[in-house]
Amino acid sequence: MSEFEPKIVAFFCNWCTFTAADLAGTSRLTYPPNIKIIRVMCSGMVDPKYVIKAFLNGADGVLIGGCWPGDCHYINGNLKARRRVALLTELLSQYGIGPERLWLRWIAASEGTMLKEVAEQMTASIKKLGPSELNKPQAMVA
Amino acid sequence: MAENKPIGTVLVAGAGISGIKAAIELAETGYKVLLTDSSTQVGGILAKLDYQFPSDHCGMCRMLPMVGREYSSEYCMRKSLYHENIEILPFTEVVSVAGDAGKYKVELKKRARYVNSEVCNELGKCIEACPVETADEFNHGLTTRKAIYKSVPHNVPQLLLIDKSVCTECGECVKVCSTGAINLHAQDEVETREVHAIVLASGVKLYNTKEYEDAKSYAVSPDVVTSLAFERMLSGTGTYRDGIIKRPSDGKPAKKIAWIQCMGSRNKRQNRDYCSSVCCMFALKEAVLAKEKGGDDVETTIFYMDMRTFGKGFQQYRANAEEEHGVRLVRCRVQEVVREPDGNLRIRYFDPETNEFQIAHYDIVVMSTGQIPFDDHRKWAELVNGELSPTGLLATEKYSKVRLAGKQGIFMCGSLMGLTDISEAMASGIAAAGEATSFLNAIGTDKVSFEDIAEPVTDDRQLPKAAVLLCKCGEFAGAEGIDLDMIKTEVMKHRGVGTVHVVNSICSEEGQKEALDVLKKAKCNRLLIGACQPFMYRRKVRDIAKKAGYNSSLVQIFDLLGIARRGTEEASKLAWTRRTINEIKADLESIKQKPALHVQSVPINPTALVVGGGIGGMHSALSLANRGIPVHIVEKSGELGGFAGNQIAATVDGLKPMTMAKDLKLKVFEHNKITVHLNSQVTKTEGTLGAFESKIVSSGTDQKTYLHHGAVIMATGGHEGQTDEYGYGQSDRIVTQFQFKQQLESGAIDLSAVENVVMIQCVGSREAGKREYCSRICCMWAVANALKIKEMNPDVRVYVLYRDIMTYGFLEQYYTKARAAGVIFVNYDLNSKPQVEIADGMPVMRFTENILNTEVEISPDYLVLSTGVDPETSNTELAEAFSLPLNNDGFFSEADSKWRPIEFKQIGSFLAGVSHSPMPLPDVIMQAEAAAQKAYTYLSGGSINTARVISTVKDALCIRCQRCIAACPFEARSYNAAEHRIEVDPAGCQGCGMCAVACRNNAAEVSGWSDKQMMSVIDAKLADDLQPSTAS
Repeated sequence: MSEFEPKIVAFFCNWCTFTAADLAGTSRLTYPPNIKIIRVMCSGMVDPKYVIKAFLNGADGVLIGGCWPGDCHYINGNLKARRRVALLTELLSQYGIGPERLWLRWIAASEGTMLKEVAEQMTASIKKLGPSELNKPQAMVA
Repeated sequence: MAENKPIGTVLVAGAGISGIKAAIELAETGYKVLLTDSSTQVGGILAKLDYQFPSDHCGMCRMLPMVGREYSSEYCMRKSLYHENIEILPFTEVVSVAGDAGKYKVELKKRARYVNSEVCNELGKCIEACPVETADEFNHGLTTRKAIYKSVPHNVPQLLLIDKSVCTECGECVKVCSTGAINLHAQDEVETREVHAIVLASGVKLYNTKEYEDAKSYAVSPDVVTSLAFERMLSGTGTYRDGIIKRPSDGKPAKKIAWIQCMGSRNKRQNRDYCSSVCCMFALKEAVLAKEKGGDDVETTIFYMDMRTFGKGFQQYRANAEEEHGVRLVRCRVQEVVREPDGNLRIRYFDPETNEFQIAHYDIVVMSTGQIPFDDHRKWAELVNGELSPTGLLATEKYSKVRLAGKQGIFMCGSLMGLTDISEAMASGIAAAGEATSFLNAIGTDKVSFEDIAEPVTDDRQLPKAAVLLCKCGEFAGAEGIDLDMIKTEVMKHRGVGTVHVVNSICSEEGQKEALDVLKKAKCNRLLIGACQPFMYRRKVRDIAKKAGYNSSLVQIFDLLGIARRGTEEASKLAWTRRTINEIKADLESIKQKPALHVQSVPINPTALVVGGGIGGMHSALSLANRGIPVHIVEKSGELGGFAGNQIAATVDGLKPMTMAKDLKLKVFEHNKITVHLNSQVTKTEGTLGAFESKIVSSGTDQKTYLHHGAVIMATGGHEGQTDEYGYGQSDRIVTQFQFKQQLESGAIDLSAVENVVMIQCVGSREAGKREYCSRICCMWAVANALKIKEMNPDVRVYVLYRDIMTYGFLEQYYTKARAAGVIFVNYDLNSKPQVEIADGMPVMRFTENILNTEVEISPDYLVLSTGVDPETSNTELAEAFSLPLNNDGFFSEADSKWRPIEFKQIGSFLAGVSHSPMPLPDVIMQAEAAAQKAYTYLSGGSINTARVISTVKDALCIRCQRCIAACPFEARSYNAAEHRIEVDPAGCQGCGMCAVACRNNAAEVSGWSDKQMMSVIDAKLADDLQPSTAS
C-alpha cells in the first residue's frame, strides 16, 4: 500500500488566487497534485454546502483562496468568506472534521510562491492528519 | 447614409493605466482602439506595484467595464487585457503622425521580438537553454534574466522576446523550440494606420539617479535604491519571495530604512522647478508596507521638505502612517549618504525637533525619484506638430488638462500631464476618452454595434452533448508527456461526449479549417477545447465555434499544457495524463450542466440629470448635450455658476472663472437639449440605470416636477470654510483668504499704509475633529494673494505661516516666485500654533520662527486666515434623496477611491468636482468631462446589453427575506414593495454570487454558476487519479 495521498479541493477566486496559480504554473513552480483547483468568481461565492459536499464525497481537506482583504474585485466577498468559514469550522467539528482540514488563505495575484507554499504546507499537514473521518471506513476496507 | 460612415478609430499611445482606461472607455462606447506601448508589456508603472495608496491594496481589475464586462477580459489585469474593440500593440512606437484632424495617418514601428507569439507555446524550454544571464529591468536589476525572456512574470500570454543587446546568437533557443517560433533575424515592422483621433498617454520618465550629477552623492551603494526598485523588493514576483525585505548588497534583512524625498524634483538649480506630486504618498505607503512586510521591528524614516498629502483621504493616510504604524517623518533635506565600511548607510541630518544635527545608520535608503517630463513633451510636440508652453510642456487649451492647444482630435491623459496618482489617472483617461468621443461624434463617425455580435441559438430542451477538441501543439503535447490517445479513449467513454478530435495545431489555418469541419459535422451543443494558450486563441476559437453553430456561453477553452505544467516534476507521464483526463471530465461536467446563456437588452432613457449648476455641472451638461443627450440641470440657488463662477474673478495661473462661467451660462441657456431648473432641489429619486425618476421641488411654489432620466451626475460644489479660531470675528483686520482677495481686488485695502500681513494656513484643517482633509487650493490662494501684495507694494512684509505648502505639480513655480519676491514662509506645527491677541481692535501675533528657533511678535495690519473648503451643506439631503453615500467629511463617496473615482457604487450615478473633494478648477472640469463620458457610454445607445452571467430570482422559491439585498455588494438587488418581489438590476449585477450563498432557499442563482454545476464539478475533481494502484 502506497503512502496516503490526501485529496484537497481548492476553491480559488478568479481574480487573485487563480492568477497566482497561473503564475506558479508559468513560473514552473511545482506544487503537490493533491490540490484540485476549482475556479470560482469570488471566495465569497463558495457556498458552505460546496465545502460540505467536498468532505462528504471524499475530500480530506478544503482550501479556499481569495484576495487579501481590500483587494476583492467584488468589494467585500472575501470578508464574507471569512465569516462563513469561521461558522463552518464550528459546524464541521461537530461532525468530526477538525478546523485543520478547512483552510482559508489570502493569496494575491503576484504571490505564486505563496501559493506553492500553502499547497505544500496543506498537503503535508493533511498527510500527517491522515484521511478525513468520513473517508476512514472505506480506507480501512481497502 | 449610415452605411457609409466609418467606424471611429482612436490611437491611444501608451498602455499604462490611464491609457488603458481611455481605451476601455472608448471601446465600451463602441469605438475601435489601437492601444500601443513602447515597452514590452501593458500596465505601465502599475504592473510593478502590487500595493497602491491610499488603501495599500491592488484593485486594478475594478477599472474593467461594469456593464459590458463580457466584451472584455474578466481576469486579473496583471495577466493582460482584452477587449473586443481594442487592438493591443505592445513594443510599438509611434514614429510619425501625418494628416489633419479626423484623418490622422500614424506610422507605427513594431519592434522585433524575435519570438512569434502567435505560435509560441510558452513552455519556456528556450529560456532554460539560453546561456546569457543579464540584469532584469522589470525588477530594476535586483534579479537576473536570460537574453530570451518574459518581460513581466505574471503576464498571460507571456509574449517572450529576445534582448538583442545581450544575445550572442548562439542559437540554443532555436534548437529547443518545437514550434519554430524563434527567428533571430526578425526585423522591425513599420505599418501605417488611419485613425480619427489620438490620445497621448505615454506617461512620464522618472528621474534616473545614475544620470544626474546631484544624485551621485546619494547613490553610493547598491543599497541606495529608487522608490520603484523598492517596490520590487516588496513584491512576490520581485525579491520578496521568501518574505524578507532584503538588502540588495548582501541579502541581509533590512531593519532600518530611510526615504529621501524630492529626488530630482523641486530643484531650481537643475531647472526642475516642479513637484512630482505623488512621491510623498508613495513614500508613506512604502514605509507602511515595509513595516507590514518586514515586521514590527523595522524602523522607517522619511526625510521630506513638505509632506504633500493633498488628495482625497491622503491626510488621513498620513496621520495613520504616523500614529498607527510609527512611520517617522523628519523635515530636513539630507545632504549626503555615506557608505560605512560595514556596508551600513550613514545619514547626517538636522533634526528640527531637537534643533541639532543627528547621525543615523540605515540598511536601505530609498530615493523618491520624481518625474522628468520635458523630453517626452518635446518628442510629442514634434510628432504632432503641437505647441509647447513656456514651461516646456505640451500646451493645452485653457481650462482643459486633456485637450492639446490648437490640435483638434488630439488629447492627453495620465502622467504625461504631470505625475498623477491612480484616481487622477483614471479620471483623466475617462476625460480624454470623453473628449475623443465628442470629437468622433462631431466629425460623424459610426460606432460598433454590439448587437451585431449575434449568437447561434441553442435549444435548452436538447440533451447536452459535448464535442472535445484537443490541440497537439505540433506534436509537442505528446513530447511534454501527455498521452493524447489515452485521453481521447478515456474522454470518449464519458457520458454526454459526442466526439473527441485531436488537431495538429489549432493556431494554424489548416488546423482551424479542420476544427470547423469537425465541429459542423459533430452535431453537438457543447464544446470544450484544450490548447496551449487559451487566452491567445480565445477570439479565433470562439469565432470558429460560432460559425459551427455553438453558443459562446457553451464553449469552454482550457490550458492543456498548463495542466501538465502544474504537475510535480517527478510525476510520471501516466500520472499527468490521468490528471488531465480528470480535469477534462470536470470541465465537461460543468459545461454539460450549463444552460445556454443569453444577453438581455435593457431599454435606456437617454436623458441625464445634473445636480448642481456650477462650472462643473454646466460643463458636464454641455458635454452631453453637444453629443445629443437631453440634460436637466437642477440648481438650488437662483443663479448658475456656483461659488467659483460667481465669486472668483481670477486665479494665480491666469484662469478667469467668472468669465468662463458667463460663457458657459450663455451656452447652457441657448442649448435646446438643456433644461435648467433654478431654485430647485431633488427630494427623492428612485429607479435604476436607464430608468430613474426624480421628484423636483422648486422653492416658492408648491409645484412638484417629476423628471425621468437614465443617469445622474452629482456636481454639487463647496464653499469657503468657517472658523472662530485666531480671533476671527473680533477684529475687521482678521479676514479669510477669500475676503482678503476680494478687498484687494476691489481696492478696499490701501496697501501703501500697510506694513505687515500675516497669513495662517490650514485654519481648522488637517486636524482631528475639524476638517480632517487638505483643501488643496488654500496654499495657492495664499501664494496668489502674497504675490499680489508684493506686486502692488513690494515694501509690505508678508509672512505665511504654514504646515506643509501644497503647491504640487507645476504650481511649485508660483511658490518659488513668491519666495523670490520676499514673502517669508514660516513653518509651524499643531503643537505650536501661532497665538493671536487683540489689542485696540488690531491683532497681535506670536509664533516661533523655526530657523532661528526664537519667538517672534508681530502686529500685522491684516491677519489672513486660510479656512479651507467645506462641502456643500445640501449634500446631506441629496445623499438621502439619491441613497448615495457621504464620507465622514461630508463629501460624496465614490465607488472606489482609486479605480472608480467618477462613479458611485450604484450604477448610473456619477460624481464630479468638489462634490468628490476640494480641487482646483481644471481638475473640476476634467472630472466633469469624465462624468459626462461615463454617462454617455450608457445613455448613447438607447439600450444596453447586459452580461450573460447575471444573478436571477426564482420567484416561486423566494420567501422575500431580503437577505440577498444586504449581501449584494453592488446594490443591484432591491425589493419591489408594490409587487412584493425581489428584483435584480441586470446592468448593476456583476455575477459575483454573494446572493446565491446568502439565499437560504436556493431562489437566488447566478446563471452559469448553478449549484448543480458546482456539485458535479466537485465530484469530478474528487475522482481518483492519485493512487497509482488505480491507474492500471
